[in-house]
Amino acid sequence: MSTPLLEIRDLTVHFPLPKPFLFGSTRVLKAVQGVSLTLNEGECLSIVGESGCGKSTTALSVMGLQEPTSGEILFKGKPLTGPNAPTRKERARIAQMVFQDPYASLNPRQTVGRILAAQLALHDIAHGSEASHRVADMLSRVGLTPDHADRYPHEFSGGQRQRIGIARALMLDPKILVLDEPVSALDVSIQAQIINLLMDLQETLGLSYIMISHDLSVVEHVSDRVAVMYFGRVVEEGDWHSIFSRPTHPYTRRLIGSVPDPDAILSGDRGLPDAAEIPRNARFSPDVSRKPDPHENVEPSQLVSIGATHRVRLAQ
Amino acid sequence: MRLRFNLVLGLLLAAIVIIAGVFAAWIAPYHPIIDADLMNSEMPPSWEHWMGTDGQGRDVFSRVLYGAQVSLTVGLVSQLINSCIGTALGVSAGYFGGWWDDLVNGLTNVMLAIPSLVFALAIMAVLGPGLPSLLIALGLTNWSWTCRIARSSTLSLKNQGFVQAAKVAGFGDGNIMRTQILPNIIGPVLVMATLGIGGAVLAEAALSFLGVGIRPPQPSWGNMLTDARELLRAAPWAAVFPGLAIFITVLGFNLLGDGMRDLLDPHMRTRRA
Amino acid sequence: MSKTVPASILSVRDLRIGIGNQSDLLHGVSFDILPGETYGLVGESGSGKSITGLSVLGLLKRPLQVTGGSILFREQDVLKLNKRERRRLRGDRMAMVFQEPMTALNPLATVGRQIAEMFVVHRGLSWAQARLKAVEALETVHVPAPDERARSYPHQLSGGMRQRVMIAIALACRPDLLIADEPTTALDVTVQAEVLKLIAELCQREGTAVLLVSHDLGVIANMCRRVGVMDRGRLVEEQDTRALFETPLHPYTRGLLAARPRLGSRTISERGRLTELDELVADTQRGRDAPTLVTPRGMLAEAGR
Repeated sequence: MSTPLLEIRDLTVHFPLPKPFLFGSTRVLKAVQGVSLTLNEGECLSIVGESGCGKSTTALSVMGLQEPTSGEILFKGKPLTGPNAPTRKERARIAQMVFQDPYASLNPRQTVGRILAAQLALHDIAHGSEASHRVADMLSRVGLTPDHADRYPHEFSGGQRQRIGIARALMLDPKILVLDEPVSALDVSIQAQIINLLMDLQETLGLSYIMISHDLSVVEHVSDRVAVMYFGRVVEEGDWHSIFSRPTHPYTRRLIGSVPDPDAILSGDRGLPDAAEIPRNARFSPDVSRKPDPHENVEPSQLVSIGATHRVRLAQ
Repeated sequence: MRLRFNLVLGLLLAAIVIIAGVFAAWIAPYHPIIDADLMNSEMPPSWEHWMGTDGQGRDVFSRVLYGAQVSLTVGLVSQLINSCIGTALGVSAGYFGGWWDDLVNGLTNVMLAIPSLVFALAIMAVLGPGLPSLLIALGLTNWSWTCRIARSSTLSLKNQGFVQAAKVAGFGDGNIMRTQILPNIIGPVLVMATLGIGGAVLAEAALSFLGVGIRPPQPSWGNMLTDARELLRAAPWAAVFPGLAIFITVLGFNLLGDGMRDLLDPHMRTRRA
Repeated sequence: MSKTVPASILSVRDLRIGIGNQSDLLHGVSFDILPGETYGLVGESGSGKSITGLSVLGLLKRPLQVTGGSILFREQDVLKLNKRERRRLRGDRMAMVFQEPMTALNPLATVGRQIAEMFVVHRGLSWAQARLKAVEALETVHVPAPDERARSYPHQLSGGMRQRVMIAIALACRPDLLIADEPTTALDVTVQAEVLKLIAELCQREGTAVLLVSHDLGVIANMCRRVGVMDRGRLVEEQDTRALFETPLHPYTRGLLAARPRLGSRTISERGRLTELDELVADTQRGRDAPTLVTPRGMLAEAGR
């Protein structure tokens, strides 16, 4: 097997919490607990889960915006974390990010042209007219026009801003794009446009995506592989079709079952597809009938294969 | 509309004070120090002396004009120093956090706890009176609010997408603070500075009034008030006009600061496509 | 026209909202809600759905104001009431649940007190009695350990719990109409499902009519019998929910239904493109009324076209 493009090995992120007044010891919030994931070239890996499950922290660790407590992240076998980590500048050519909120992700005091061109100068890729040329190219590529470069962000709609955010992420020609809820702040009708744009770009530029999302219908549409996270751990992982046609972990089933899907509601067919079989005497981990405490240690468990690419977390 | 009115009136008043200071030598009918005519002391306002004369027979109008030079220098320079210190400390504290943030925060709290006038008095006592030490004293004692504002604005900005995006694009921390954060907090900082000019003018007056600011006979609005104190009954104009000058300056710069807050909002600069 | 309409709890007629005297945000919207009915208003941001809900309660923020039309609540035009009478109506006969429960609750008061306040203000109970009623109210919204929770402050509760508290406050006085503006948008999906179920259950039990404002077609389909689709300040289509999904009439509705990614729509063979809204509806068709609106009570010609 060839080396995957990106490999996350046993990633753990703990946040220290402020000490309770006078008494008690320092507690830590265990945001991510031993997450291992791989991203192959040209693939879209989606991490789904609800707020606080650690999906965003995982993404930020990949971007170098969050220091892992332990574990490593490898790009083509070379570590992105630890003592031999690349500098911020070197890292910029590897992975870029598209942010959730198109209103907060663009500096209101810079023109679009400046937002896009600044990185080219920093990395000494292009200057002056060559840079504006590239900016114009990129703007047309994401469905805007070159004359948009002279405008300020507040002159654009949410969908257009998200296009600008995508353009900014692509300026350095990165290999990986981390999409943090790329469409959840957008209107339904705009979502389709941005999703189509992202899928087109992935194909033409040969990009690999890590998408963070809570919207399962978008995830199903775009992903090659899906990892479901719950309280800091991956509880189920597999190719998109196994996850959606054979959701097995109780949490995955609850997640899919909670999506208010108009067609299913109106046809009265709210049944979920059957779960895959798990070994006899095995028990899912964590127990979803009660809420796990993110400050406590979790019970020992492991991801067990239940299909060709399909794995689910069982208690040991 | 009202805010525009603020801006225009503020600009007008500030311009009057600035012109008065800059062109004092040309406008003033008398020399502020040498032209002391003891025979004509404590004269009420007249055609020869628009604002009357003081206890030593000097023309109050001329002295108010020359006093504007001192007051403006003190106001502008000390606020410039304050803004630079406050912004640098506030932005870096908010951006880096950790022990540096704790340190800056502690320092700010200490500065806020000591009345700034008392602190300035102490500095003046060490440095001795005079304009340079006045600038230093007022420049070192009034940055805490600017620092707080810069810090809290930075805290709310640093987790926004565009700052994260700049990090991800490989920009260094210094660059990010300069190009991403500073332009977005310059509005409130500038407003604070403008509002502070009025305060600095008042502080100069107070320090000179207490006898540690500008040394007589050099005119400043503050020491003019000190001198006029004993003549308040006999020659009220000697106190009223420098007082009025302080009032106009403080009002002018406060209105200017208010108006700028509005003007600096980027949404006001929308170019319709 | 009004003859065909049975006594509605809320009847919005040709409602116009604008800044100053220009009606440039809402250009004449009319709909009826029957007692106990859950009516959905669906649309995108800027379609005018939220300001419609706010204007019914009289909570429009200046400079927005109602510039025309009428809002009949229990056959009484609320636009003609004075401020005090409207205030008395709010919280008592009509109530609201907002999107962000954290900002809608007072951070300095316990949730028990905030619910109790409703009984004190609108029912004239003493604080002691009201407190007991508040605990009861928390119990009806399925908050575990209601006695204890009544003493909590909003920040000590999770998002879902806070929204339950909001619902308890809104339904405390058994209003005739509940206006829910994106009540679950800020919540996680699994929590959303529970909160929606709770609203449906309580309103059905008390016979409370609901005006549900949402951008989420799934939520609307889940909750509403009838739906109005809003676009660019107009109600462009109104139908029974099922009919709307099966035979959307207005081009915008058709576009909206086609453009959303649907669970289970992807085929194994390929990752197809999604249909985009502007491929289906021309810009000139947006925000225009269809010639007629089809309602379960027959044709309803849109007024003020």
